[in-house]
Amino acid sequence: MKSKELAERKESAVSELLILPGGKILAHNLSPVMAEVLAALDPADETMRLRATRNGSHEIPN
Amino acid sequence: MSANRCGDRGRPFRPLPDIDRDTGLKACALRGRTFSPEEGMAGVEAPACPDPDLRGMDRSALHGPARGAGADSPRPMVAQVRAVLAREMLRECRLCAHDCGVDRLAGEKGLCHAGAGTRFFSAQVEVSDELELIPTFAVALSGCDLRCDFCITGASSWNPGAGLGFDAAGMARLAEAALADGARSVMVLGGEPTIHLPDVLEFVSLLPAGAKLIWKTNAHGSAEARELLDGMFDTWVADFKFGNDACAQRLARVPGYMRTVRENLLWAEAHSELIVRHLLMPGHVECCWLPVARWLGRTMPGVKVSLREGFWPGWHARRHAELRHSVSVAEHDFAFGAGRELGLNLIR
Repeated sequence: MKSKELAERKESAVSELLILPGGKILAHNLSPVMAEVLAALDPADETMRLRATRNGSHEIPN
Repeated sequence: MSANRCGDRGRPFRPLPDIDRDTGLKACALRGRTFSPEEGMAGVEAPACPDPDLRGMDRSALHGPARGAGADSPRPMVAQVRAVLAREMLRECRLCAHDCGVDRLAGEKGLCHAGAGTRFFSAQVEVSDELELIPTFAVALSGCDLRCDFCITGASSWNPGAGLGFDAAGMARLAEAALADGARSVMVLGGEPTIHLPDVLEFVSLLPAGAKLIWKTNAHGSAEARELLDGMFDTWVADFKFGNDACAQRLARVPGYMRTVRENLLWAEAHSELIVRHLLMPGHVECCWLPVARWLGRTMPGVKVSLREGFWPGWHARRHAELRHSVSVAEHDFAFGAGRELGLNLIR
């Protein structure tokens, strides 16, 4: 039951994006999946990479 | 009851009904001071505790904060008792600094418009908060005591009726599953969670004692709310949104903002881990960010400061000319430069 509930939550996770005219992307309620997408879009964005790789049990040193 | 005056507003103390005088948490302890068992309770009617199951518990856990997460932490038990007290406090709600005093259990509504129940509009694992907290299972409760025109979740944050009914047990199951799946923490936010303290405390009482719990707040709570929160959350993530009362009044319709927020921040720093957040807003770097940064640098050297750059002109931001666009590169660079020059401990 727990796993099913959580799986449903994961599938329905909601993030909001605002793409500015200059190409900058602002994100709200960033889900791990969306962080992975954004990190892939801009691999040079270190902060987003850290957010993406902190998904689940993956640990990145501070 | 003698004419005790409690809290920092000089308000006459009125004893709360239906609280067991033996629990050790006297009504006035929730109003900013602590009575010893021998002091000042004469004349207080003490009906039976509303939850009979609490009578046999170890009451020593009620004295002092339940700080320090760990498997042996008394936090769940203390939270269970405080949830009962918090619900009784809704009869004369003073959980936030608006100090409305309405009887929410009888259907009266104060400035936040919240009733006795709690609803939530989001509950999911997120990675948008500070790196040391993520991934976090974030539970966003509907309703707020502020009216920030730039609120990014305004439709839900201004409306305590938005979203779904909050079931503490069901939500605790989801949180536990998220923790088991790798979430580092559980974050309670809003809207503003302070206005829903009874259900929040019930939620906390059902979470594992060792879970890392985060309290995300607008720092506009009352001394009564702080008493209930003492030791319940490992980390406070507290907003310091405005650098002066005029901007706070104009953009969020809140009077006396600076005094209340500073009071809450000072308390939070003394009672838990603290991360102070400031959302950079266009046109408000000099009037809001700089005073905030200077005060933090002077008063709380070393405190973690999270300068957020994700402002977007949502909700009613268009009511204010300066909030109709995003933060410029120049404002961004100036703000971060000032933070560094002031020696702030800026975190990501």
